[in-house]
Amino acid sequence: MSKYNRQRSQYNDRDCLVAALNEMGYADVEIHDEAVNLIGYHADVRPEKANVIVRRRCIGTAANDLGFVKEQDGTFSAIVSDYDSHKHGAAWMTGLKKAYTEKRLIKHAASKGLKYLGKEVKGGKVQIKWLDTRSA
Amino acid sequence: MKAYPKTERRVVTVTIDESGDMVYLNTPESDIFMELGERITTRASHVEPYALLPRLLFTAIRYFVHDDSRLAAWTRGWKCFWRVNTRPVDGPILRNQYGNIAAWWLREDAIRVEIEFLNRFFLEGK
Repeated sequence: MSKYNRQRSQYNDRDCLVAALNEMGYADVEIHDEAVNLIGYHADVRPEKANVIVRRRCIGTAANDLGFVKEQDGTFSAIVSDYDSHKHGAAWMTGLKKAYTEKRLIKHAASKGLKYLGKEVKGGKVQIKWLDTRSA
Repeated sequence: MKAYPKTERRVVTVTIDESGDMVYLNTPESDIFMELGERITTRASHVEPYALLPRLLFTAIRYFVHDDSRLAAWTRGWKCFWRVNTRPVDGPILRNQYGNIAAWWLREDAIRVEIEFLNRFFLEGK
C-alpha cells in the first residue's frame, strides 16, 4: 500500500533560477542583491524592481526586461509586462518551472548525500533517480 | 513508515510532470524533498489479498484503522496471496503475462512490483 506526493516547487534558490533561465536560452542574466529597476522597451526606467533580470537586449528588439523579485519569504516572483506575455506566457513559464525544478532537485539531493543515477525524459515529463547512500 | 525490505527502496525516484510539479512515492528516503514546497499526499495503490473474502475483510479493517496501527500491521502479515490494485491513481489491477490478475505469495514481492509500476506509471501514464 503506497502513498504518493504531489509537490509544487517554489522559486527560492537564486542559482537554480539563473541556471534555468540559462537553459531557456538566456545566457546573460543579471543578479542583484538589492533589487534594481527594470527597463522598458522605449529604454524607459520602469517602476518595477527585480533581483534577477534578463535585459531586453537579450530578449528581442521590442521587449521589456524580464525580472524576478525576491519576496520577503525568500521566494522569487516573475515580473512580465503585458507586452511580453506572448513570449513569456504560460507555456514558457511552465518550461522555466520544469527546468528550475530539475536543477533544484538535483542540487538538493546532492546536498543530502544522494548519488545521481540519471534521468529519463518522456512526453514532456522528466524522471530522475538517485541512490540513497546515506545508510549504506 | 516502515521500510520495505527487498525493494529498490534505496533508489529515490522523482517525476517532474508536464506542469513542472514533482510527483514521487512517499518513502522515508523521499522525505528529504519535503522542504522544497508544499505537498499533497494521496493514496497511490493498495496491496491487498488476492482472494475475495480476505480482501473484503482486509478492506473493511483498513477503512477503519490508521496505517500505523497494530491492527493494520497485523493485516499486512496475513499468509495469503496478494495483488496490486492501482485504482487510486486510475491505474489497473496488475496482471501477469497471460492477462490474469497477478498474485504474489510474498507481500514484499508485490510491493516491489507495485513501486516499479507506479514510478513507470508516473512517467508514462496509462
